[in-house]
Amino acid sequence: MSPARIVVRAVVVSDGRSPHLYAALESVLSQDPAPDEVHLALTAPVEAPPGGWSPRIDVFDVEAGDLGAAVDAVLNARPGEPSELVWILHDDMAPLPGALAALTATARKRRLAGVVGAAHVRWDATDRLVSLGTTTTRVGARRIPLVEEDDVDQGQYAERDDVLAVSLGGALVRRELWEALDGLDPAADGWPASLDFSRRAWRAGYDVVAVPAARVRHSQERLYARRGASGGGRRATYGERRASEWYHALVYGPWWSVPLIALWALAGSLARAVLRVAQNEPRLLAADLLVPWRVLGLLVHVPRARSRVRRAGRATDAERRLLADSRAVARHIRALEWGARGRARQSPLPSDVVRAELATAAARRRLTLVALSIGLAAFSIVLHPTWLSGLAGGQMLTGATLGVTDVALGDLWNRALTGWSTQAFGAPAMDPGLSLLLVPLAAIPGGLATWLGVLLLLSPLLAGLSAWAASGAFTRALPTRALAAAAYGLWPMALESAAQGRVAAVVVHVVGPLAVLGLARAGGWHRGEPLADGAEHPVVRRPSRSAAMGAGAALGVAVIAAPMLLPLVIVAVAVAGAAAGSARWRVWGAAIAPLAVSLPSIAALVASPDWASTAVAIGAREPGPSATADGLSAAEMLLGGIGETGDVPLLFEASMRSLPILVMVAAAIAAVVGRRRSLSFGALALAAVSLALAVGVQGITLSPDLGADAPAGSGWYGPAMSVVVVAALTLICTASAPRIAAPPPAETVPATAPQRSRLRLAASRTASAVAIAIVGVAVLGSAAASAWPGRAPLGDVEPADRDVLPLVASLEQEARPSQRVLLVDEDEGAVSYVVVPGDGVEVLSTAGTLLANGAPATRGPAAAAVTGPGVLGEEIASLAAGGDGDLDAFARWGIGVIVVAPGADRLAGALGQNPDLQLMGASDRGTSWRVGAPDGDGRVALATFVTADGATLPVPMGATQGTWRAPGAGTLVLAHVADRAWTATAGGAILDGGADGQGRQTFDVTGAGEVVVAYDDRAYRVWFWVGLTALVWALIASIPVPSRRLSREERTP
Amino acid sequence: MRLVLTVIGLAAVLGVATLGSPPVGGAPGTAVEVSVDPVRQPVVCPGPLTVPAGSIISGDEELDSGSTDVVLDVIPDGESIGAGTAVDAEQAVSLERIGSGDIAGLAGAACTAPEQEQWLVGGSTTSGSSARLVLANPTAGAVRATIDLHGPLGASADPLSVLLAPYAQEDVLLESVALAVESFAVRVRAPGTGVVAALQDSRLDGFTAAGTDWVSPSSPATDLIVPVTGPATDDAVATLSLVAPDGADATLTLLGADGPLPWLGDDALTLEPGEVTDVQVPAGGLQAVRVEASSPVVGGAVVRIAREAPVAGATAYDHAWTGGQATTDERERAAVVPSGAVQLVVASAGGGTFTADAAGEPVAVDVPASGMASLALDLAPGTVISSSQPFAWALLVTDAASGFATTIEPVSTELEPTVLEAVVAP
Repeated sequence: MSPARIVVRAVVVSDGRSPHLYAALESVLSQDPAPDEVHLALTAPVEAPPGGWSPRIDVFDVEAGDLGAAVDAVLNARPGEPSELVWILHDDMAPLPGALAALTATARKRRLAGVVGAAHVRWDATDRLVSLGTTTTRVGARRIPLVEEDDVDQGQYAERDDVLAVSLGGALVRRELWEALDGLDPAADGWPASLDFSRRAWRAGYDVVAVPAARVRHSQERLYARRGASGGGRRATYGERRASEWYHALVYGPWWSVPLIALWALAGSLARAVLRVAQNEPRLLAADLLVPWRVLGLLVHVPRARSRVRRAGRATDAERRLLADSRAVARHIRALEWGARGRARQSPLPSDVVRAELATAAARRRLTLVALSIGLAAFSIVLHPTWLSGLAGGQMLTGATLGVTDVALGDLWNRALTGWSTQAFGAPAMDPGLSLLLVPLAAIPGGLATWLGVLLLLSPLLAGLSAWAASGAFTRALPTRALAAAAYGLWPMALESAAQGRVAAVVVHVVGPLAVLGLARAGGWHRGEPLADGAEHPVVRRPSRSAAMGAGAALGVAVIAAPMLLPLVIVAVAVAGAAAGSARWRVWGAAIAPLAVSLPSIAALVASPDWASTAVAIGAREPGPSATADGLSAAEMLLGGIGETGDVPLLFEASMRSLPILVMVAAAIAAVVGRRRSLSFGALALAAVSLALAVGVQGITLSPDLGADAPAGSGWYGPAMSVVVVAALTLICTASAPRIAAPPPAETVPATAPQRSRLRLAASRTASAVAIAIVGVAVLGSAAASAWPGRAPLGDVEPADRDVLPLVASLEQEARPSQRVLLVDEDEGAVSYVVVPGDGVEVLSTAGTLLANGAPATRGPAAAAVTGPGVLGEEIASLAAGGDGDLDAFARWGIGVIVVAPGADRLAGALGQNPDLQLMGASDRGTSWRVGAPDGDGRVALATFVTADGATLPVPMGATQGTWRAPGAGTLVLAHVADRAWTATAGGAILDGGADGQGRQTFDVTGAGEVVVAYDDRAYRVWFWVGLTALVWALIASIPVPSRRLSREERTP
Repeated sequence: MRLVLTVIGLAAVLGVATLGSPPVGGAPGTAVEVSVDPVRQPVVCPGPLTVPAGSIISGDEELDSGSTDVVLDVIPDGESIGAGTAVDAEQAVSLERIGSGDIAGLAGAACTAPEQEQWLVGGSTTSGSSARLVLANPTAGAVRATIDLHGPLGASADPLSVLLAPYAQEDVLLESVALAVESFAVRVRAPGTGVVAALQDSRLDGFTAAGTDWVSPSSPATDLIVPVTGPATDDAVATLSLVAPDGADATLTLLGADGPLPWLGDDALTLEPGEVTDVQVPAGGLQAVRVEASSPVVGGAVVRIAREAPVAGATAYDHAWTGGQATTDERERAAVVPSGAVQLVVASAGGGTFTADAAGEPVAVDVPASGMASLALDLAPGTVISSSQPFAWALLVTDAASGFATTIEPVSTELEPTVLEAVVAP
């Protein structure tokens, strides 16, 4: 106990922008004991209260930019004893009675205490803590409050004394300390000032003590950005505060760590940006992205601040002990990021009875789901018994339509990124097509072949699960959900799509229900769990941002796989949004991803001079494998399009044929009796339009999927029919949701009503039980019929070894493709052939879309038609007939190897007698001949250099780019179709290029030097990144990560 | 109102469901139909006859299997290809006379160009008979020939396969793969340019030669004439061998110098698919046989000429195989006149005057309808006789002093373009 009397000099600083100034002053004056002197430092003119300032207040007008400068100004003007205590107060702080007494008591007791801080409580609720001491991490880049915000003050912190830092607002600071430390650090708008001052106090040999008993109401005007006009809440100041934390780390870290911390700030801001996308927090995303730039701006202040810290003294053990350890940091982060959502969850906590009921329902639901999953998984495997063993044995699935599925990640990414399709002789592509969707599959260890195979194999299971998830949004009746999911998984057309390897249709079938689920939750139209008392849980279903973005991602994927669905998707989302009320913007947001991935096609359509003629080719293109199928009428499609079933027992066949009928009849009944009429009408309209689309699309001749001159398929009705089935199942599920019984008003109920309603209930229950039994039998029978061994095969996809070309041919192509391979087969007096860029015919990476006149769609109908392998027909026929084929024609297009299919012996014999072809080897993959020399100047290459005197040299080049040193002037000839996006530069100068007589790309090389050739389609890349960003954004944002911010509607049910 | 909307929606679905399906889209790959002119390849003569396995060397000229009296004449000259000769001309002839031994006789063959598919009707592997198939590849690339053997019981199950090196000739002794087959029809297939094929048919009756000749390739046709099926006697029978790859009903007509002759016996026969059917030709002088069939048939006939054997009391024979020619064949065909007594034998279904060009000099023969005619030629060896009229004709070469005979059939000198369709498809 110090006998000396303690002098307290209160300094209240105001910029006149706090509404609480007078209240603050009042509470300072009413303290007992009162401060010896009370100064009011006004940094901006403030009107005096009606009765004038209290005579006890010494009012100053100071020129100061911040709190520290204002206090400095007061202390300079009013000298005093070094031992006196300065009570620093802001105009939004009002000490509660007894605060000063508690503070001075501690100051008297703790003689080394340089800073004695008070507990901050909420202005409007004094039992809620705002701050009671602060600490930071060892690095210093995170300020950690020592109380949880809004914690109820129950005296749990009463023992707290030494802390690393306290808020200087409301704190007593020894005048000598203030003067020794030269006040506050004005940088970073004063955000880290309290922490910085406290830490310097520790280093200067003083203690920093928090006094829980001294409580100060704090309205945190600045934190909530209420000073000035913005009023944007805490998020408005988030960026500044975050930057100030990094600034603090830069000031306190060792000198060598400064660049590391700056880099860390950059990486951290990017990582947080991803989190903000997932949280659907666009403002925080922008703030987080700005943080590194703010830190950069603060760097100029760092040397000064560091010297200030150095002057204060060395770091002490006391200070280090008070730094937060990693567990404290983890606890803090958990509280910060998850606590808000946790509190929101807890607030409407249902009663124990309801929770028990929900738990029972969840257990039943899980049981049903597990049974459904096991059933569908078993069905998927039994349906194609050879697939699983083949895939497990390292084989790939392949078929006439599917093509080779073993595509390397690099090739796929190159195709997606550059937009150059390597099918046939190459062509500019409009969009990445399926390659974008397949990149993730190819990136998983095991490669595309395995995972695409798994996708096709498990497509009934995946489709069933997504249908299960979607049906849950409309009904909670487990039998209905399970049957709807099973019927969707077993839908005959989808099984056909998978069996034929129509990847795009399978993708649409799987993601379609997810899009519906997302939209339903985005609009808040999903059902809650029905409770015994007739209520639903949760009582109010809130529209979800994450669900809207999930719907966007699913729709984006669906539109990539089936571009023809785009108009349908846009209209459906627009209508749904219009019906969503206040949630309309987030529902409409689901259209962003599908629109973004379709931008290239929309741009191509708009840019086309005659868009009517190109609309069909562009709008109804089919990425991935396509083939011609028999035409079906709409009625046949509604009946599932089941053709010849083969040798299946009659009962099972009848079940299989009746399942689609049952679904359609049930949907029709549901449409009439269902209660959610708007939803019913929407689903019906969607079904009708999709059905018309499915019928119409069959008449369209698609762009050939193997590139120019290859056979062209017709449109496939699978994707549109998946939409029809989703709509039908939505109708059924909507109608089967149990009525939420509101008890009728007592006076209107006649006496006989209970009896009658009980009878009606019993009747409807019996009817639904019978319906469920019938559909259940049909589902089981249909599954048995589909997997029956005698069932006629729906497609030709089978596992096969991954190597398709003979090894010698693959070796000749080298690791990076430097040659093309010509595959020849004979068939009834005709020779069929195809040019392959890699190991076999790749359909999955998709050719560039061609218009009816052969011009690439992305270049418009006026562009030159793409040259295809059709130009080789004469030479191939001549070779096959034993004539003198012009081998130069093959070399011209980079064909270095000719492979005759196994079994085509006559063809093999004919080629064998050609003295200019060199036999490389024969295997069960075919017989291979080399065109040109194995090495050296005669070697066939995709890029050749013709010197001025006519000699040709092979030029090393990758798929779409190459760098090479030209020996002199000449012509660089690429065995690729000429396109304006091919560019070549020599020493930075752009070389003249164009198409030669064959339609190949050539460049005039003017002299010796390094030549860089690349396919560089900027417009494509811009569209690609826009689409990819939108899709990835939607995917990340669809993760339901709880956000620190809770909007009002989420906070209040 | 909402119910009305629902009903409208339902009606829309049902309305769409009544729509028919549009014509299905899609297009085949780009196709090019190309007519390819083959490169002219040299004709190949099969080379000398060889004595079948089991030859005897006793020092006695009359008992020995082989002979010192051998004359092989190939006109014009060519380069050797294996044992044979490749002649860089459109046609050539090979005539070999062996005076004694097991294969004594006259054996002539028109040298042929490589073909992708050809039939050789003739040969036998019964006791005392030997059939030697000679394949030649006059091109720079190796080629694999596939051989289907047809006998009276049908085709053999497994085709033979022979790989021919560039500019090589290979022999296949059929008795080593199919023993005791009465009569053969051999189909030789090879891809690309094809191969040249000929078959040596040698027969032995005890120690007595029973005839040797080359069988030349012929092609299936629904109406064909074998121009030389006589003379035939009851002792030296002439036999017609027929094979229909897909089976056929055939009608036979005997064509004589004055028109059709009666066929003694059943002139209608059913040919089972792939089975070789032998028919004895009625006895008579120079005569021809016309075969009309419901589906393509390949045929050939062998005539035998009896002579006195070196061994007292025995009768030796020589024989000559002649293949059937399609009656509609209007291609330019030519034969080279060999040395010796040569007779032009012409047969026709429609009759008329057969005119041919013999090194610029016209040769004309009147042929009665459904008849045949012959004309002794007095032309220098090496003269090329050519004609593009649809008559069946051959050169009958005889050596009256020794009782030897053989026939030379004309070969087509036209290069037929191959029509192929090349289509882009996986």
